[in-house]
Amino acid sequence: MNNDEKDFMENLSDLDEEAVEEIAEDYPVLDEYAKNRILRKCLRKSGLSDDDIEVMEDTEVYEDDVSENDDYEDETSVSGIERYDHPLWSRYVSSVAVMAIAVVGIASVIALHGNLNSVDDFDISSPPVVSNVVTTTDESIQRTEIVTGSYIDRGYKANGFDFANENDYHGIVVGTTAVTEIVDSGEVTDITESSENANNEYVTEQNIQPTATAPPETAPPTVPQTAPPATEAPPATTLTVTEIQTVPPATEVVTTTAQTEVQKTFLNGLYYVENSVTNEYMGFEFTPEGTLTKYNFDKTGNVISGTMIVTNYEITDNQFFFVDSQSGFNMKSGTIVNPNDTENFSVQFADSLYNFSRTAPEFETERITLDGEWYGDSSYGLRIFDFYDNINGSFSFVYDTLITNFSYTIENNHINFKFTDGTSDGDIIRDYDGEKFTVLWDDGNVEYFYNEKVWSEMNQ
Amino acid sequence: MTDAEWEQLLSSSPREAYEYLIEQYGNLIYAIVINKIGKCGTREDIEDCVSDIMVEFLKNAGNFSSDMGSLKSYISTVAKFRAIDAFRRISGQNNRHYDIDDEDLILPPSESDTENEAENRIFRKNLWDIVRSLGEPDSSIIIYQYFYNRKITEIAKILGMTSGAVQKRSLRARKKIGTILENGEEYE
Repeated sequence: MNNDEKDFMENLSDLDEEAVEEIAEDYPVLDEYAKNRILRKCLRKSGLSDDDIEVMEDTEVYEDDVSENDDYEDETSVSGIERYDHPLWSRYVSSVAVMAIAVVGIASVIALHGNLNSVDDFDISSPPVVSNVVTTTDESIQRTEIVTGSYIDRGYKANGFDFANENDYHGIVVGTTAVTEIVDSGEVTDITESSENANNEYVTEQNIQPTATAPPETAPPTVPQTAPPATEAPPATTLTVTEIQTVPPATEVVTTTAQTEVQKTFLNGLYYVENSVTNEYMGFEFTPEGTLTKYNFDKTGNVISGTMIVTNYEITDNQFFFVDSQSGFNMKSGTIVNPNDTENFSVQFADSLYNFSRTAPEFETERITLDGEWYGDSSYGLRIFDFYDNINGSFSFVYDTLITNFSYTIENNHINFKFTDGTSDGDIIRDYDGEKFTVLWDDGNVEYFYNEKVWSEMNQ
Repeated sequence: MTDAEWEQLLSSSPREAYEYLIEQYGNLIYAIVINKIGKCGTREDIEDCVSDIMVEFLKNAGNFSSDMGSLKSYISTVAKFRAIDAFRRISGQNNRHYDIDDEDLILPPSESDTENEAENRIFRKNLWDIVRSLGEPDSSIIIYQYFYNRKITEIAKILGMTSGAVQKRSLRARKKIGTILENGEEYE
C-alpha cells in the first residue's frame, strides 16, 4: 500500500455516533475470547472472583503488541548472569592510572592559578564582546513579549478545565449583570530590577552606541594576543545586544451596565459532581441569592481550594442552565427530570444527562455543545471557547469575580465579540490541543490564556 | 429486559449482570472506545477501557431509570466520556507535550486551520459513506482492518475467507475508494 492510501484510510476513525452504532451493529468484533477477557477484567475490578472462569487462550490476541517486543528481545536482550572475575594485575594498573591522573590534575590547577594572577589587570574598558547576538525580527519580538510578559503582567490566568485556585478565573455564565473589568497596570521598571524575574522578561533588540572610554591609567597588562591594543579607543559601532525589560503598562477599563434578574427558586443547597479528569469532586452550591458557589473537593470531601466564584445560573420550572467550566465544553439548556426530588436531581440535555446529588459525590458531569454536537475529543483540535447560550444573544465572561458582557457572533472555532459598551472588541479562539485560548484584540494586541497545567509548567 | 428484571439481576448476580452487559452492549461500547482511542491505544488499553465502563455502569446502575431514556443511550454516553478520559490518559502516558516555543502553538491559528478541520470532518463522513457503499465483503474487510485495526489473518478468520483473498480484496477496495475520492464519483 502506498502512503497516500494508508493516510486516507487513517481517517476511518473519529466517526460520528450514528456511524459507530452502525458499525457495532453490523460489524460486531467481540468473539468469545474477547468477551471472556473483558468479563474477567470486570470481575477483578469489581473485587469479585474470576477463578471459576476458564481462561480462554487466543494465540492472536495482542499479537501486534507482543510481536514488537519479541523482535526487540531477539536482537538486544540477554538472559542469565555471567560472573566476571577481574584479573589481579588490573587492580594495580588501575591504581597507578588513578595516581597519574591526580598528579596531572594538581599540576594543572597550580599552573592555571599562576596564569590567572598575571591577567588580573586586564583592560575591562574594552568594547563589550557580544557573543550571543540576538537577531530577532520584529515579529518574534512581539511574540515573545506576548507570551512571557503580557498576560502574566496583567495577572491573567485561564482555567479551561479546572476552577481557579486563586482569584483569577475565566468562565462564561448565563445572564447579564453589572460589569466592570479592570486590567492591571504594569510599570516599566529598571532593567536590572526586572532581570531577576524571568516571568516578566521579554527579549527585545536595541541599537546601542557604545561610548568610547579613555584608556586606563595603569599600564596595560599582558593580555592575550586577541585583545585589542589598550591605547586605541573602541570604535563607535552599532551593536545588537539583548536586553531585558518589563512589559509596557497597559490599562483598560470596561464597563457595561445591562442587568437582568436571574431566577433562583430551585433546589438550593450543595451538590457534588465528580471531575474524572482531575480525579476531584466539585461542589456546586445553589443559594437563595442566585449565586453558584464552586469548590474543589478531594475524595474525602475536604475543600482543596475554597475560592468562591460568584456567577449566575438560571433555573425555570423545568429548565436548568449552568456553566460547565471544568470541562471547557459548551452547555445549553436541559430539562430537569425529577424536580420534586429534594435529594437528587437530573438534567436531561439533548443527548446527555447530568446527575446531581446532595449527599453522594459519585456522579460525573457530561458535556454537550451549543450546537447540539458533542466535542469530546481533543484530536479535533480547535474548539469554541466556553460560553453560554445566553437568552439575549450575548455572553458573559468572568474575570476575578467581575463579569463582563459581550455580544458575539459564532463562526466555527471563532467567537467574535464586542463589549456591550462598544469600547473594544476582538476574537476569541480556542486552541483545545494547546490547552489555551487566544484573544485577538482589534488593536492588534494578542493575549494568550493558559490552563492550569500549562501555566504551572511555564512557571516552574 | 424490564427494569424490574434488571434490578433483580443486579442484586442477585453481578456476574450475570456483567455477562448480560457484555453480550448486549459489548460490541457497542467496544466500537465507541476504539473510535476514540484506536489510534493511540493498544488492544489491551481498549479492553481495559471497555471493562472500566462496564464496572462504572454497574456501580451506578441503581441510579438509572427508564425515565432517563433508553439504557443503550445511557451506556453510550458513559462510554463516550470514559473513552475520552482514556484518550487523555494514554496521550499523557505517551509523553505528549507541547513546547511553548513551538511556533505553531504560539501563533494564533489561522482561518485555514478551521477550514482544514471542517474539511477533515467532511472527508471522514465521505469516507465512511464510500466504505458502506462498497458492498460485502469489502466493507467488512475495510472496517475490520482500519476501524478495528485487525490483522489480515484475523479478518480472514472472522469472515471465513483465506488470508490471500482478504489481502486482494482489501487492496482492490482501497484502490476503489481512492479513485472515488480522487474523482469525486458518485457512490450508492
